[in-house]
Amino acid sequence: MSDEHKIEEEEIIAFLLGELNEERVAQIKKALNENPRLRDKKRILAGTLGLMEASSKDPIPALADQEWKLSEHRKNNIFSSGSDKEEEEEEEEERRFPNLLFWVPLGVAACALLIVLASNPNETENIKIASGNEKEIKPEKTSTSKIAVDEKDNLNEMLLDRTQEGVTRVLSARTTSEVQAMKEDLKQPPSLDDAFASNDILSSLADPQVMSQKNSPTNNTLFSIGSEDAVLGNAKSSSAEKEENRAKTNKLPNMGFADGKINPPVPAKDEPIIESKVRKIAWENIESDRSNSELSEFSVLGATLANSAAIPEPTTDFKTAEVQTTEKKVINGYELIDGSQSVFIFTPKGKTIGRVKLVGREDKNIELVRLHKTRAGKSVLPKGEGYQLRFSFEKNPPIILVGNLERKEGGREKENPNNFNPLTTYIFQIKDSWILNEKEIRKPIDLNQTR
Amino acid sequence: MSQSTKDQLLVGWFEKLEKPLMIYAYQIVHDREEAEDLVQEVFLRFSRQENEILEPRAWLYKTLRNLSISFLRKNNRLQRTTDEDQMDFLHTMNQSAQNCLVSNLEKNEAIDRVKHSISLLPKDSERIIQLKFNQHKSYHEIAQETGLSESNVGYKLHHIIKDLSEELKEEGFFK
Repeated sequence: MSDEHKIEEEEIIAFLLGELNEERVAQIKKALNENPRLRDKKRILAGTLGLMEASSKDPIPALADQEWKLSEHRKNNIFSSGSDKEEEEEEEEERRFPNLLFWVPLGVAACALLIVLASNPNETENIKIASGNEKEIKPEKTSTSKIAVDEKDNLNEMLLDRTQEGVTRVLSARTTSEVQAMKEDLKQPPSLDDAFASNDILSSLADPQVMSQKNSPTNNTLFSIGSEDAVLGNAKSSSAEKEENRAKTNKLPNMGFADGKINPPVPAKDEPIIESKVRKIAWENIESDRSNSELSEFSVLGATLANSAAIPEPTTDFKTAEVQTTEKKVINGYELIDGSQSVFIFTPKGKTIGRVKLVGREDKNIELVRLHKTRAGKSVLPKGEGYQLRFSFEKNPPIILVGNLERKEGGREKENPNNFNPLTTYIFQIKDSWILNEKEIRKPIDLNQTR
Repeated sequence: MSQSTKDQLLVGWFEKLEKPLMIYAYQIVHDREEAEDLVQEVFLRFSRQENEILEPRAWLYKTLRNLSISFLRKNNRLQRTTDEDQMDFLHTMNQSAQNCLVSNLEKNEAIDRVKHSISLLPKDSERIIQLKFNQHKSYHEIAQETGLSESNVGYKLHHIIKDLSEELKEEGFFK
């Protein structure tokens, strides 16, 4: 056995600090002379001790007691950078292969229009009128051309109806979260990307399944609320119709805090605006639900949300005092994940989607909401298998849960479309559970087992 | 390395080092907002790395240090030590330690790095370091002051020094 194995680092440190007896010092000196690897170890340890001595003369104040966390929008920037790269790749692919779902129907519509024009050459004048020159209609309303003018009015109305129908279809294809995101977008200055972002919506029109689900009259009412002034303003020209629209908008439920009964949650200093607004609306909806005694409809998993501690106060949130006290007791994996510090969700392909918040859990079903800001049109996660949740803990290694994700259909949303839930809630059904070691290698874990 | 593995690594290292890196950046630039910016930039660079990073902890610390020093240089806030200060310190260090460090600039960076690591230690460990390296007390004396056993003092010091020397070596302070 060589001297290197006999002499350990601890002894070299003790030797350098003068804590060894003379006999051992002589042995170590001899070993150091003979073994270059030991000398190298000693050199590095001596360097470290020298630096520690220099550092201890002028120590810096300990800052570890303070709160040191990046703000939410910075975290979003970090964790969305990977997904942005993928989106860029998707956009690049779209540029290479033009979207046929958009161009083919458009081409068909253009051909149909040409056929109509070719078969009725006398109507070309009316088409011109319908294109916007309404002022020119009025002088033509004479007794000699009364029939012709009636026909022009009919055609004009028909075209307006068609335009209205198209607009309604576009609006009805939008989800609640898209409408929320659009409201936020309207407050920000538009960019070139925004100007060309409508392809997603138009292409979704071609999906018959989506259309059949979303083209209901109730949905039309709901989705035409948010931006009808912006979109229908061009289509509806008469002031009477505009008045009607305004009257409709005025009938909307008051979304503010005018009654003054509720103290809305105060957003954190660095919290993104969109998130704080969403939470504000969520708070409001919960409070309005309390008054309407419809709270039970909101939560699938029983009374978890009835306590409403989860959404209004995410900082105190799921890690209740009860869970904190159980840290000292023997707890199983389920109790551990209930008290986790942060939870991230990954797609089946392993792509980070962002942070989530647990709202409740019943056996293997976890109810959760997404906390990160999402892009319009890409906000709702599709139902599927293989989603992953990563739970982090202060003292325990991370736990990964693999399972099925499903969007929770709020009964309230169905019955009262105006009172929609701004935070989409999902149900995650646990299928597999893993624990990560120091090197991020997975090992299976039984959540029922006590730890 | 696949995107999913990279994402997992990013989340893992972010959770482990968010706080220490924030403190480290703050200790260099003395500005909370700038420290947040720098830490964000470090993790963004980490996520954009095409090749696998062999020592993520060392890479993150090294990159943050370089970014922080660049920031200070750009804003003319880098305090340069005088030659006298450097000579004074070199006098206190033994010869092998001097040989380890490539330049005086690196030496100052290394001292700051060690200060940072010590500032993250629990209070009792920090006290042991102060008693040993500032007051030059023996294990026996430290044991008497702290109420720990001599072997416990030796064990704690050994672990602190060993971990620190490994971190410094990985970050390239010792050639």
